[in-house]
Amino acid sequence: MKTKIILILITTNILVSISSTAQTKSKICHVVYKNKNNSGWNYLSYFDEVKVLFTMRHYYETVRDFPVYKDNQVFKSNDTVLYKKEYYEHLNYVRKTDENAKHAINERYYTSNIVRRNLFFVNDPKAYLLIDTLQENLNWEIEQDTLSILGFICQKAVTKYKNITYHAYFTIEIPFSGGPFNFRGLPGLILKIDSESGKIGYVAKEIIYPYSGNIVSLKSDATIISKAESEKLAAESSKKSLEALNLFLTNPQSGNKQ
Amino acid sequence: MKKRIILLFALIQVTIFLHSQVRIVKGVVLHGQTPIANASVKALAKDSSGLVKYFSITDTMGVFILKIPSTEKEVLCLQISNVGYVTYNKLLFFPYSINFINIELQQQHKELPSINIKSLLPIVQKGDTTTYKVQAFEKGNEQNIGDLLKRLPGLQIDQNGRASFNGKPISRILIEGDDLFNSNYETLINNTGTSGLDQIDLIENYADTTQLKNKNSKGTETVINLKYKQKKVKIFGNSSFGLGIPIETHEIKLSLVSILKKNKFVITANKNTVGVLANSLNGNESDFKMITNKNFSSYTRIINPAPPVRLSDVVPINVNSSRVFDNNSLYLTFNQKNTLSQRVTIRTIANLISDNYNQIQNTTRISNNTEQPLTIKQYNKMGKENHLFYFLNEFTFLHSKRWQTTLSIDINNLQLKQQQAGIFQILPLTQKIAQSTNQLNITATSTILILPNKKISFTGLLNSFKLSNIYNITPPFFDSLFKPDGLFNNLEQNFRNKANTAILEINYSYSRTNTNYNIQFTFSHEKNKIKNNVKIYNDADNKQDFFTDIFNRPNIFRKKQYGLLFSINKTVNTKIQSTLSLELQLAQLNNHQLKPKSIISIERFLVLPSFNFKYKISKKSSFFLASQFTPIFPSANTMHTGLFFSAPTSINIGTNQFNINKGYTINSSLMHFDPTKKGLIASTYIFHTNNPTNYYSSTNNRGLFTFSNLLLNNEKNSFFTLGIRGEKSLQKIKSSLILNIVNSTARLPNVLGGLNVISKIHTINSEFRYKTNWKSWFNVNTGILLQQQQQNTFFEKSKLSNFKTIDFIYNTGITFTLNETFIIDLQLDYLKNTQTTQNTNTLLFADFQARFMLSKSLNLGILLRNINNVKEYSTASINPFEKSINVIQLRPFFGLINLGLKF
Repeated sequence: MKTKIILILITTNILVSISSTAQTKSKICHVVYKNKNNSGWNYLSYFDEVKVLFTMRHYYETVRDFPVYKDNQVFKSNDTVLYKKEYYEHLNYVRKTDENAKHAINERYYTSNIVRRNLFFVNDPKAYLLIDTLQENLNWEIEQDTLSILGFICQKAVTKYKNITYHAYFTIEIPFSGGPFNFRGLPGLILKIDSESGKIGYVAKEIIYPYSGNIVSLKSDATIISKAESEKLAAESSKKSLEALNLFLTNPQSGNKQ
Repeated sequence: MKKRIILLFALIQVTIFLHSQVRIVKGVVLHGQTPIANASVKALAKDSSGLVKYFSITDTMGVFILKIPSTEKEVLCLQISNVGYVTYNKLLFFPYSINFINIELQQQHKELPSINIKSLLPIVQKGDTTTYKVQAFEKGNEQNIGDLLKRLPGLQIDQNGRASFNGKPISRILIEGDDLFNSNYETLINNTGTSGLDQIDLIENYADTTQLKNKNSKGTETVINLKYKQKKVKIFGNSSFGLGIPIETHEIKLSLVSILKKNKFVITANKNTVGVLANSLNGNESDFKMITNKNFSSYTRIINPAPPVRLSDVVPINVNSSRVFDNNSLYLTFNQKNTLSQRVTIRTIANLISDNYNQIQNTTRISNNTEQPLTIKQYNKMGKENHLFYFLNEFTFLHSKRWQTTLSIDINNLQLKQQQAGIFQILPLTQKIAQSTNQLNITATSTILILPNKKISFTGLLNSFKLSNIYNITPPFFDSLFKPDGLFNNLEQNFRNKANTAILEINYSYSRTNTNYNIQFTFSHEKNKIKNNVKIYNDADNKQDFFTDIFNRPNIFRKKQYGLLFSINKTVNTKIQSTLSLELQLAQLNNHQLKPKSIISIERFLVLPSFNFKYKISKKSSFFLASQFTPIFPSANTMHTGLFFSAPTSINIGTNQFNINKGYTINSSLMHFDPTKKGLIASTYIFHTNNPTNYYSSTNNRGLFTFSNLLLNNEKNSFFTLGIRGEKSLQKIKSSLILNIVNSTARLPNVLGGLNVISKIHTINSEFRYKTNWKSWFNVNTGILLQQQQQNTFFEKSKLSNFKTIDFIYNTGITFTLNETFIIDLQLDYLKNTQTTQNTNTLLFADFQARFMLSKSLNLGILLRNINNVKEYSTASINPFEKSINVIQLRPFFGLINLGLKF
């Protein structure tokens, strides 16, 4: 009798759990693209049925040179084993700075060539909205070469954009017609793209589908600015962040407390 | 002529026109009356490649225009897909005469196949570090870290829990940069869960960062560094509690990894009756052995005598121990590193290993070296109660930036109670062993950096070892040679050994940009006292000495060794690195027999060169060549001239003649490691060693008794191994192939019935394995293993004996993952064993394991083991003296339901 009761309890538990997990899943595909030139940035893309949202974040594993304060001297090192403490301190600093920083958010509908972009600048609490028009659909030429990326068979396609030739690898196993940054227009998700010179390139390092985590959203009530205004504000902003970095490199302790 | 030109011109025009003509397939994609924008429309090649040949994307009105060049004549597959809709497929035949079609896409109601976290870049190589992302390799059914490490390309874990990377042994496993295990990391591999693990770094040319080191000095170790997920409080754990049938079946497991700012610790616990011995969790293959601090190389100089009698377990090759033993085991470990201040760190290790288990075996031994072959049959039930407690405390003081001292104290306490009761020939026989072993080590090392590139270190080591092995035979057998007066039902042998060793090492090293010089002076002194006493009795209060003069001959063995080592390590360029060493050793050995009194001594000067060469062929390939000479000294056991029993009818005797030899090893390997681009990881190695044994064991039979005595031997023996291992990742079909072949030969000289004989042993082990890494619900890991061993014994050119055994093993593991929450593992092992001495043995084992994830941290599992319920396994072995056949009883079916928690 006891065994029967235990068996019934187990079966009920299993059924309840199966039913609770069989909920409707979201249809958002989250892809993290790594910038190939090791700039330390990840491009986070969120594809849904009608539009794509993308932003960027630092990826910490590539923080290579970090400041070490020893014998009254500051120098850069990449020895993460010897200067473990300094490495983790610097990593935390970068992470904290990145978490506090507001990164540009882009939104584009698949059927449109207009990108709506939220911009944020250093020491400026305001959010700005820039509306940009992209070039018409890219002229892709499909080739027969294939490449396996993250376990997906990808096919090669070539295009020319702003006089640069790009080689892209897309997969039809994931039915979203998009890619990193503003690359689009292929019949499947682009997982890798490289410029012919090799200077520009993105590669997918993480795909979550269906995705149910946090998603960035565009602030539509932001101040609308023109491209020229945004460039001016960006120049000022980068000057300020360079000053902050220099201060941190000369005195890491002061930087950490910021 | 004109006509011809016109005709040619017309032909060219037609050809150009045909080529420039494009066929158009137009259509509208709808759902009901609503047009579907941004749907992808593809014309795929209708072959195995399924590649996209032409494509289009629907506009806001759902319209698409697919342009197909007129040169295209193959059948195409029109495929239209969009998120949330069922994919539409239609064949298009030449001449693709579809001008306008309405295509209705149906909404998708069932769940889309989930990609979930497909992976971060699974493997990243940066210089000497290869990083594996755990997410990419984790399947959810891992029992311990070992299960996960086995899945990483290039890493192999042996059955004891030692890891190697493409053939190179892994010396330590670090927890976020710290070694908590003193290189004894088997605990971590065999008994720690994977909760919280984020990244596994494999670091080559690693140097221990906790010790002061010279500027420019380079590391030589290959280590694994485990990195855990970022959390405010980094405490991760796995636990499971299981009960089963038969009613006494249970398994309780716990592992806890805590990474706090100043304190890191790992706790593991395992209590089970499912056949997993605590001893094997601690990394030991068969007998209990003491734990040594592998961080101090000086320990390798201590070789204490082995106990004279031991009862051996029989675990057939490739048969899991949970199919063999009925056990009750307890395993507790605690490893901690505490940073008290910037200057003081403490490392603590405590292990408690306790096994209580039984085995029933039926043995037939046929002796070859008697005038008439002697057959001894035994039926035994063996029971063992083994306990080991190990404790280590290590303090590291950094007095200043240039002076560091490490003080380490460790104790081992080993208690064995073993009993074997059964039938010997036709007589009942009981054997009991009560063994107690205690060891204490105190080590102190002080390192001073005289200049940033000059270092001197002093190491002192004291080792105290005590062994007491009491062996009881009821009733004993007596030969007419030593038949006592009267009839005695009990024989008791009390073998005691007390050893003290002291080692002093002074090491000076000097480094320049590309060159390191090292001079080391070593002095060691070992004193080893052996006392054996055999008594016979009927009444325990009235024990009588049994042949006192030959069974009771205490002796004291002393060994003094002075060593001077010079070594130069040179980095010629970024590709070539080499080390040359020369050790000069002066050894003084002395054996003092107390009853009757005799003293013998010997002094020998030894020159021991060694070299090491590494050539980095490319970023992915390297070549390695090394050779080393080692001295081979007699041990205190060898020099013990008293008789002692090693089995009810086996008597051994040592020798009073010293013999010292030199052995050498040469090994060479070629390694290739490219897991990311071509997906090929391969290594090949050649290993040759010659270790003269110093003594032959000469065996003679008399009645039921076997007498072994030692004779001097200076003949070379040799072992030669050639191994090839390759792992190829087949990216297109998301699978990998593994091929592993090890071919070894050994030549062993021996004495058999007074004749000098040579035994030649040839072994081939080969394995071919196919593993899938599909993202579907089904995955398979299947392999064929073929192991062949042949032993021939020759006297001059005539063959005296021949023995051949072939094991064919086919095993398949199938994993079903349903809805990401339900994982089923099915394991099938088929064994076929063919031997010269007996009939072919075939066995099929089947295990079933299912795990249901109730939530992210809670799971419910069921384990059914030995489903096929095989009852017996027969195994045979042979040596020049005898052939033995063991039939062991296997553990019957058992089942277990367990609840697992991950946090």
